[in-house]
Amino acid sequence: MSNLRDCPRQGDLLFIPRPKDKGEVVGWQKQSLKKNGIIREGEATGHHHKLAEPTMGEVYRPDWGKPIVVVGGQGATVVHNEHGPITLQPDTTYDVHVAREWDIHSGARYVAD
Amino acid sequence: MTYQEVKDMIPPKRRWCRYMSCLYLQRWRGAIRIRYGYRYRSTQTIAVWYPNGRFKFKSALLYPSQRFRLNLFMPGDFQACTHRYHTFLYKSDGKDEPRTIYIPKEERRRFRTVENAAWISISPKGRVTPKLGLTLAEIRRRLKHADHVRDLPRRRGRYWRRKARGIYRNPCGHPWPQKCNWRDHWPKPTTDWRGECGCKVYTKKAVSRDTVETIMEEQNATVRTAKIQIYGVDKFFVDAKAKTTDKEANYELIRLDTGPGHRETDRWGREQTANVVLTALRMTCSTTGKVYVNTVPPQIRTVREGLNWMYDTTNYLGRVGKQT
Repeated sequence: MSNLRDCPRQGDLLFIPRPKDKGEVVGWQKQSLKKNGIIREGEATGHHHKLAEPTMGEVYRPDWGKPIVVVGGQGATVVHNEHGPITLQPDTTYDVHVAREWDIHSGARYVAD
Repeated sequence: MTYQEVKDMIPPKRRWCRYMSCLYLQRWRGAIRIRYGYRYRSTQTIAVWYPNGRFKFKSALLYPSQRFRLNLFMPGDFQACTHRYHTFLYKSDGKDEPRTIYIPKEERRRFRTVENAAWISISPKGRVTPKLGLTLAEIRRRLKHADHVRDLPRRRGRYWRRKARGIYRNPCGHPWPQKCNWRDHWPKPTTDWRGECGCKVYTKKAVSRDTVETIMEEQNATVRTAKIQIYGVDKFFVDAKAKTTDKEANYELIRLDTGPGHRETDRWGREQTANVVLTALRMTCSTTGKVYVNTVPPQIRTVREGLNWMYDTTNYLGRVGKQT
């Protein structure tokens, strides 16, 4: 278990880097490439978590599993209307963990931003 | 013994086994029969009380996989009890030893509906004599009314649950968001309650008119939790003065006991009622000072566990870097 503080958090998103040898995106996940760079859309407020420039990296949002951000050689910046920007390390693949909350009736669900 | 006295002996619904969804009395030729049914499909006579004072147990429901205890106290303090695969009748008077009568497995009856059973038992040719028993319509009406009354708490819970979710109405006219009147099928329920038929459910945010005291006084657990949701979980934690059980960094774990939850009966017929405990993480943003409250599962006891569950990680506090 790594104790490096290498996981930035922006609001309800936690970016966890993949190990170098497990950084590849699987073929079926590549079909969910989002060219606009939006990592998570705001359902309640309409505010998005997105790359400052879509060319900084590739964003995958597969139907099953967590969103994935593959950062290019120049690094990337994630911006949001309410939260400050965070910087992602270059040449790194990040798994994006979305915060969950516990609903009294229906159990766990993702936080609606 | 009167009809009402026998009726009062029937245990409340929550003491019944899950197979016994309908327990009712039937009067025929002066005798009172206690029958049960399973969703109106199969009916069976449990006991008969004859007008000359004789009381007779007929049988009890028996299936191999069914292990339940039926506490049905009858004249003479008889108690029907199933143990493992067999049913026994106990008579426990203080001095004598309890008498045990073995009842073999009951074969299926040919009555498939309550109406058939009642019809046959009341009058083979359909003639009903008012002096001797209830009419078929009356039995049906009473059963329907009993079902309605029994269903009221659940309906009330469903109403408040939908209200808490903000579900307002369905454009096809059906009050249930899952069901569609335009096309005769059940649309696949999705996260946003839009079915395959294309119906979009209109939503309206509910406004709470309750206080913390009125919410805590609510007996129905489903309604209580729905009212808490309408009130606002964050606000409710603050107003109800939840206890802080753990503290770490800028995080606090707060817990609030809102009272008894759903009554559930285990396979031995005992009631198991657990309190509904709301648990949440209170986070204070170090830069802006804003306070966030995020609910977590009630089994979580520490801040670390809560954060790891919230972000689906194993070592959140050890790995998180910049936070904005």
